[in-house]
Amino acid sequence: MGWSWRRLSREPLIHFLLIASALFGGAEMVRLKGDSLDQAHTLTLSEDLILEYIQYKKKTFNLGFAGAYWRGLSPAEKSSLIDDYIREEVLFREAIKLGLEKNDQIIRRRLIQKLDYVTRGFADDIDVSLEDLKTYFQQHQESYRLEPSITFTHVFFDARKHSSERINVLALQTLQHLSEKSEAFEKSSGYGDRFPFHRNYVERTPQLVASHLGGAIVEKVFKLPLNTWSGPFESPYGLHLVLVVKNIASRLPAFHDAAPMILEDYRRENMDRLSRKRLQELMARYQIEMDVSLLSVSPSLTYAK
Amino acid sequence: MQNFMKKKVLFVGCVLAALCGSLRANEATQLYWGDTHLHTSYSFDAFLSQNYSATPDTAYRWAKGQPVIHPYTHAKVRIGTPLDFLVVSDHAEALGVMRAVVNQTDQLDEELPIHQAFMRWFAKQHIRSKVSDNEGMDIFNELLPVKALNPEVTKDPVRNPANQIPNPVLGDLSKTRTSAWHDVVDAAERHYRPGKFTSFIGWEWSSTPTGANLHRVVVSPNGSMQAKQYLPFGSDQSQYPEDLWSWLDETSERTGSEFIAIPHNSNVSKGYMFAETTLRGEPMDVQYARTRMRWEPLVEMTQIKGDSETHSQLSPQDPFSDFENYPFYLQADPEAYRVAKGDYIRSGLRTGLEVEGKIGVNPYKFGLIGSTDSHTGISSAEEDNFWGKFAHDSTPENKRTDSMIGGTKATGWNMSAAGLAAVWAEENTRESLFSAFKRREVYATTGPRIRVRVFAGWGFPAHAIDAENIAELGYTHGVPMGGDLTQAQATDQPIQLLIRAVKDPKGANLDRVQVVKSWLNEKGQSFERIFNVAWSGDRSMDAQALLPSVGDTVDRETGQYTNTVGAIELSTLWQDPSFDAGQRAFYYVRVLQIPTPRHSLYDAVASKEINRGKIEIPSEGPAIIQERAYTSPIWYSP
Repeated sequence: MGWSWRRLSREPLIHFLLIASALFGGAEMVRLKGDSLDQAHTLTLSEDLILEYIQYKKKTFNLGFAGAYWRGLSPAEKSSLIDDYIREEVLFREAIKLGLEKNDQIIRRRLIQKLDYVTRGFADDIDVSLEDLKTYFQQHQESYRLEPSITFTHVFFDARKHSSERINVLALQTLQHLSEKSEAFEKSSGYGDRFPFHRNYVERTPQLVASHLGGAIVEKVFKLPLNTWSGPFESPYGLHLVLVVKNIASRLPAFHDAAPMILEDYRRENMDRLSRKRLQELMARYQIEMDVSLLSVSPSLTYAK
Repeated sequence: MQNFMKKKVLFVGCVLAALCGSLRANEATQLYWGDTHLHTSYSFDAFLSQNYSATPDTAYRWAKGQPVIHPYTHAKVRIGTPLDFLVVSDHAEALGVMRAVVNQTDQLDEELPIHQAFMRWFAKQHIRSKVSDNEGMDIFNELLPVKALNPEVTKDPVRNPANQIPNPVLGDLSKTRTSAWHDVVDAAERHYRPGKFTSFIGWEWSSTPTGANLHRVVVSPNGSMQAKQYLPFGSDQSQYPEDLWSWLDETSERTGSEFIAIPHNSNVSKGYMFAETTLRGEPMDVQYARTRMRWEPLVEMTQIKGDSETHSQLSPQDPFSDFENYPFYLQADPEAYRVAKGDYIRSGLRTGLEVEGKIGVNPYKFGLIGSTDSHTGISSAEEDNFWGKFAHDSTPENKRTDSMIGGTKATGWNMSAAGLAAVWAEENTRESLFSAFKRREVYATTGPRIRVRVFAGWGFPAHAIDAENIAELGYTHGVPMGGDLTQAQATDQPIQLLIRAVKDPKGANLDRVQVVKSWLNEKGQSFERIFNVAWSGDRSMDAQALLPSVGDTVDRETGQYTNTVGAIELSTLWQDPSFDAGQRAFYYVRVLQIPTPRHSLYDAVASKEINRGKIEIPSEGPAIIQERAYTSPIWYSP
């Protein structure tokens, strides 16, 4: 066991339990009779309240979702949910009345976490205008940069099928023929041998092309002029004649194409910004006083002076 | 089915032709690679084995090819070839709870009687203190099941007196689990890029009564609107798969979600995964077989914790059986491993034929995939880039000692980097991949990206072997992997298999292509036979139809191999010489790579200096591995 009685005696929960039993005992002894029907003992339930409860329970701050969820429950499930609410609310009120929330590190953490959820939950309600998104895109363009890609077809001569002298002659003769006829992209399948991977590569990245044809060929292919048969180029499998029809350099996407990602990132960033801002606002209300024991340390956050 | 496939393919073909115009790069289906089985720090056992930091976000970033921080070594790591899809499948049981208890974000705040509250407080302290000493595996071992008492008497492992459900000392976990589930769901939603990368929402149901592994990964193609209407069903709710299926049925009805459940590690199921009876020991009826096949169209064939194809005791004629066996049960007390028919997939598929012969429905007509089951958040199936089963066994030093689980004495070298799911689908979207799962047009590899096409039928043109449009010919004249064939037109016309396998573009050459066939005779008994159908070089088969070995180029001193043996591609049109139009049968294809270094050899090479200049290859496994691909079967019924 990694703990000792010494650690145990410092454990806040033990303090909590001791204080709690003292309070329970005390409350039991001084409990007044006949006050069970006053204001403090009335729970008024409404659908709004239940929908709110569902949102907290499900950690989904969306009224539409809560409404749909509520309507989807069977009568028995509905009453069980209401029972849960009542039970929790009664216990909660009684605990608060007894001051059980004070000096409890766990409750402290939970409250902090809850406030965080709430701030984040609200961020979903932010109105996002097209203008905002466009501005955001302008400012963060680089993170949406697309990889370069290339579209080409190739005629392949299989080193397993032809001798090393023959294969070169064959490739050069075919190149001459293809060039003279200006043979089109879709006609390439009429020439050469079958390549184990693909005949046509449509908008493929350098990494993928390199994995199929070897790294040496990729650099050359990405520099070829468009619509011109070139080669032969050597790969681990044989020789290739290549016709590039489209070569897209690394580029920024159009706003329209990146919109879903931009929206997601914008939301997330705003969520973070809002919760930071809220924290700042809250902290601005507090004056921090340092005890002499801490005079040498200065806090880095801004706070009211 | 055949007609359905043809229509579908024609339709897809037309759409693609219209879209692509003259720039035709695409066949009717494209090959997508992924992992359907991966754990992050949200799984209790992953967290307890020192994965404190890898979240679903880490998992998706790794899968997409971005560098990430390893949760144990804290090194920057990156996948060799990115994945096209990923299912983050954390254990439903105590989802996110260990993590939340240690980080003090748990919501275990249910009002409890004072002694229970104290027990809960004590349990939390115990977890925190163990984890802060990096001894979380002690807790994991405390939670492991124990072996059955008199299993011969009590057949149902759930009812066995030794089967205890862990005491729910932490109280109601549902609030903490809900937060965790929503994190998992939100991460999947954030990373989904239709057409480029697919993230699936899923989880693992981890039923292990008396150490019999009955685990299933559940996958849904739906988004957060559906997924947030339920909490994942765990084995703490029921250890019977029938109850999982009922829950899937009710939940899909209530929320509009779709699901499949994928069993895995049948190799350590103590004969229960593909048994001849239900888990309760009752005979299977039509209803059971149909329900099982509705929810379980796929099975995970191979993963880090062993390969489940077959065992030499079940397939003595198969020289390639006993591949990456993992004879260690998931339980607290030691128990010798026993091979059972219900443990392996080939025998399971055969049991399916036998049951179908009796009741008319095959309960085991499933497709095959591989996946990692890594608990590091890092899906690594590459031997030369393997980052551990658990976070703490990701280093050579810890593989020797730290991966011991419970009563078994397996080490990190008893496992290998394994498991990929290959999917032939129209496009990289949740809908399209999920449809391919359901029609079983998928296959398994033990890690490499071996590309395999298989079509079965009767009328393939001879030139198809070398045709560039093999897919078009295959779909037109036959059915793809996972499909059904029935009623041979002429009894003297044997089934043909059109097969093409191409090596991993970045990896090793291929040794051979084999067809594994099983059939049912008139007495209801099943048989199996393996045919070598294509191989590299000019080897020839001997009188027993055995082929000489392809050779071994792995240098034990440097951990290098060369592609001087083997073939880049193997293509064949094979016909079954033993075809009998009156017999039920299935065929699946196994493709073997040439031998390559296993991670244990890389570890030995890397540790050379530490071992005073000696290469000490761990005795738990071989220095080399002959990686392979297994396609989903194609079934024939008269």
